[in-house]
Amino acid sequence: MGPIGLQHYLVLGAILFVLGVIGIVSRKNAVGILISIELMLNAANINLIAFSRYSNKPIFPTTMPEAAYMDGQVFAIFVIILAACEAAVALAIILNLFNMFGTIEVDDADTMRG
Amino acid sequence: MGHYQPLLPDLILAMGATFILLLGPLRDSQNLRDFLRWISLGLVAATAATLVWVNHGMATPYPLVGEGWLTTAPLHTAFAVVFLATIAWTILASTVPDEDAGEWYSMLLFLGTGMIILARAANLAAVFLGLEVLSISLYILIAFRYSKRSSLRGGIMYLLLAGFASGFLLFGMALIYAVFGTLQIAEIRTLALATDMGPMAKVGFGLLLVGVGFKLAAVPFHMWTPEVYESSPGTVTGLIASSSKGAMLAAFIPFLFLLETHWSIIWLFAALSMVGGNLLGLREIRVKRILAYSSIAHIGYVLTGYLAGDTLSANAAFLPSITGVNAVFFYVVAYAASILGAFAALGYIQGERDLTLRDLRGVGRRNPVLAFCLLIFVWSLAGLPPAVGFFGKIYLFSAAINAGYFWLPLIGLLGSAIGIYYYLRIIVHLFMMPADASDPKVHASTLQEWVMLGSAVAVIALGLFPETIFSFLRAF
Amino acid sequence: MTLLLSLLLIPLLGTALVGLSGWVDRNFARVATLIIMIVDLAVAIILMARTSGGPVQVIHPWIPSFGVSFNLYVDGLSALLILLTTFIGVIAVIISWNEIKEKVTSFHIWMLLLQTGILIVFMARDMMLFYFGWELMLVPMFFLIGVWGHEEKLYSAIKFFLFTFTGSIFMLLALLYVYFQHAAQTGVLTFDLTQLLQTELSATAQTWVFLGLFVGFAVKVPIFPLHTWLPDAHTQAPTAGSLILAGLLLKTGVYGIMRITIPMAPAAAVYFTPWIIGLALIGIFYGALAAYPQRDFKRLVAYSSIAHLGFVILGVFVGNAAGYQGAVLQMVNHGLATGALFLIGGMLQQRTHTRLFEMFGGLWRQMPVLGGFLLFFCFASLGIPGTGNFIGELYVMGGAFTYHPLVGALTVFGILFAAAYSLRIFLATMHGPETTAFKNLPDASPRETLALGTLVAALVAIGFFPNLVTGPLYYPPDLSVPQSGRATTPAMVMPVETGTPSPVLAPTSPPLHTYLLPMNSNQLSDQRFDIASLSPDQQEVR
Repeated sequence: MGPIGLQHYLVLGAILFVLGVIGIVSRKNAVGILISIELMLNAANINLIAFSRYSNKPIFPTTMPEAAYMDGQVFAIFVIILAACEAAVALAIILNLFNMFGTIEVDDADTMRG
Repeated sequence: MGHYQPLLPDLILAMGATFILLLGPLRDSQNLRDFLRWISLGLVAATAATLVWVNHGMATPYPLVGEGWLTTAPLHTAFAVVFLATIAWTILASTVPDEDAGEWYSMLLFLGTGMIILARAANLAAVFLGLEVLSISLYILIAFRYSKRSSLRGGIMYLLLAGFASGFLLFGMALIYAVFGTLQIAEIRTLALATDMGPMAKVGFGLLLVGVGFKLAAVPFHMWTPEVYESSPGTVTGLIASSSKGAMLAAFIPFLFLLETHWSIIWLFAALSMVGGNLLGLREIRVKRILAYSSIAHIGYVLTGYLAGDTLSANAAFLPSITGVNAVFFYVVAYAASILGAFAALGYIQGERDLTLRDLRGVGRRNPVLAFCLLIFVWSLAGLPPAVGFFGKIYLFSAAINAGYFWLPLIGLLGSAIGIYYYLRIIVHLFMMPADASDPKVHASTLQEWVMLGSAVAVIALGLFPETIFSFLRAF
Repeated sequence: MTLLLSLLLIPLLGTALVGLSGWVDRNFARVATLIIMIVDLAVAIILMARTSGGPVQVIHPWIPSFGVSFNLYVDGLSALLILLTTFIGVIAVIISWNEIKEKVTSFHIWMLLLQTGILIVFMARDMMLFYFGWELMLVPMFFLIGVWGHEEKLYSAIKFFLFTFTGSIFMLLALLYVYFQHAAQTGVLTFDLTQLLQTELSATAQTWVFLGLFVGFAVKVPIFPLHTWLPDAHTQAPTAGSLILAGLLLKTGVYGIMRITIPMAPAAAVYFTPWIIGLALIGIFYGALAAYPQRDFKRLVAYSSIAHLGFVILGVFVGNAAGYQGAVLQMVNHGLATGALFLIGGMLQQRTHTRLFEMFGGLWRQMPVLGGFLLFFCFASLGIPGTGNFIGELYVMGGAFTYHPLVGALTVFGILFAAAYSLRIFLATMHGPETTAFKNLPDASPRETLALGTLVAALVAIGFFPNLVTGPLYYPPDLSVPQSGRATTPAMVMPVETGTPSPVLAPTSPPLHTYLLPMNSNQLSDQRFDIASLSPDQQEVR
């Protein structure tokens, strides 16, 4: 196995991503789907940060090397913020849905799923 | 300030939107609503002016400004100005819920912010930022009438599917970052063209395309379209169909190099959308859904132009002046002008529950101005002269033929011949069917009627003088 | 040249005038439209006289980046069809005076728009402008049929639209292909037909270009397997709509074949000629056979149109001067005679609210004037001497005999069939036991008499002075035939008589027999397609 390296993060990211996809396809609960989406986004975040950390030199030389290996981490922060916004809006809508329908099951299977 | 100066338009718009959001709670008066409308309009105009001013004299291809965040390329600036125009149009044309004028205008401005960031993004992170700002504002706008069931359903559906798509998009971006070590699109382009793409890069771009396909509602990923279009307020539907997709297209013009490796996927998207969208619309009787299916077909047409791409770099170039990119720009303008008006007009007409073709009967007699405008818009969507959609379609297919494609234009034209049928049905129900006993209810203020009439005239004028749009593009 | 522009702008800007006057009073809309149409006709007459000095052209830049210019070009053939268009436009307004009672203003606005589209088609030298006009004709006609038509108007209107639109797609693709080929060969972006005709096309390319263009136009003509929209549209349209459909819209298809299809792909045209002549013959017989048993007045006339247009296509493709002249003559005559039959059908329907033959019978006693007109137009339709149709059919027959005796012989049978259905129209309405259903039907009003009378006069004039129609074809040197490097095109071989241009509308025409001479002389056989004169790659098609 060896020490924890880039591959481990990659695999973790891939597993989380696939779990997220499976979650979205199989769940009916709106909050469950929201969580699955967050899982997908965070899988990507893990990848971004891992690449940024482990390749402290870009694989290809670029014009802005010093910025390049911070890019991933900055991007990850963006993603976290945006995901939080999205969750806030989503929860607001879901709350209203619950008020109106008394349930947050997303039942219309054909149109609701990807 | 220095090289952050080019971010000024985005800052003005976003801060203005926040300001208007704060004014929102001072609700309850008609005057305030009008005041907010004109302020928002002023903000949009100021943003557009700044955009033009800031970019003046910086027109080199894809220069990176603000730490490589946005591009000032003329095409992208022109796109951004067009999207701002659609926002301004919507501010004028939309019927605002009495209570929440501040929130409504504020969200429209945030939507605009997302669009101009997305349209000018030079960096994967900026693409994501712009896209999410745009999407989040759209979730709120779609679900804005939260006391209506359908509105909430549409909102949550769009939210979950757009989130899903964002997941794909972001994971693809992460893989691309891993391979190329940079988020700058221009650099990725150079590297991707210089080397053979490994499997990881291909998967990354593939995931990216899936995400884009969802957002654009190209055919294998189109299922959300009818439901969401149906349940949104009319003007918002127009924005989803026109400028929010247009911004996505603008953002992906720098990715034209993908045609080297992924063109068959895009080809398939285009062909399936053109056929599928038009076929699906045939049996539908709910008007907004018909136009939703038609918008799927239109994305197919646009992708045809996208495939033709920047003919200077792509295959078999006969002529420099008809590039796919120019044609896409033309079409985005033409389509926005037509579809915004069409959905807004439908928004003014009240149906029983969902607006069906039956509800259109008698509108021609009851409100001839609105019916006439709707006729012009549908005429343009069908791609018939003298409306602007005619030349839009001809440019796209010309660009495709110019780039050496033959089957795609043929499929597209045959598809549009199929699609003519549902456009004709709309016209037939508007003008040629006797009205039912109950008169259709049409709610449109005088201002709204003038706005509609103005854009109908614009659709015709642009159709008679299509060169105007290219002159506009060249002005940047 | 302002003449050409004003010809277009009068009906186009007239829509605004009609809209305003209709807002004041619906009758004003009628009057305004009539005035506009008459002014347009006057301009067309001036134009006709002007073109006798040579073709008239006007070019304005329109979309420079796409190579599209506002390029209008009128020579004898165009001027002739423009005259026909404006003439029929006037008649159409007169004839709908009492028939159209609902939405009067919008009816006339659509009529004017339709006229603009047709005029663009006949005048455009720029192919994008041509296509623009071609598509512009669709929506007004759709509205004319769909709003003011009869029982199955919606079905017919949609069918008409879908057929024509689908056909035009292939036309567009072919035009774009030639455009890009031309641009690739010369580096010049242009849709100018004169320049596009210089494009070198390989044999395969010619075949596809020909097929694309041909299908686009053949739907409109209509040529046999693509004709099914026609009976529905003609039957269901209001009278003015039927008149314009039969008189003008069908001609745009023929005009496109003569002006664009054949010159663009001459070798392919030669290759396909036997097939198309076959289709034309099928059209003649199918149209006649299908027409005879119809129960519906207008439907019978509609099917007869298919037969008449079969003659026209035959004349175009036999590839000699007689055929070409005959085709043009028949285009004009068919527009007048069949249009008139539709008018009478409309008048009968307006009086009796039916178009079925079994409801008619013995109407002569009640309406002798209308009956007389019907008799004349039925005779014109079957081509008796003295009417233009006789000359036209004679020319086409002569051309067909020159092409192949068998084809000529079959054409004779076609004319016999025409006699059968034409006489049936008259016998079933005016003769026979008097129907008891209708009493005291009014005879032709002065307005109707005026409209029908002008048509009679025109047909007789052409019958005695065919030079009125064929003369204009000679004098302008046709730009569509490049001077060198290309095969002579079938449609363009007409200048057999090389004479000085004869001034139009001044019937100093030579005695009739000189027009019949070419049929018997050996001159025409030389004008047959000479394969040896084709360039090698064009020969491969054969």
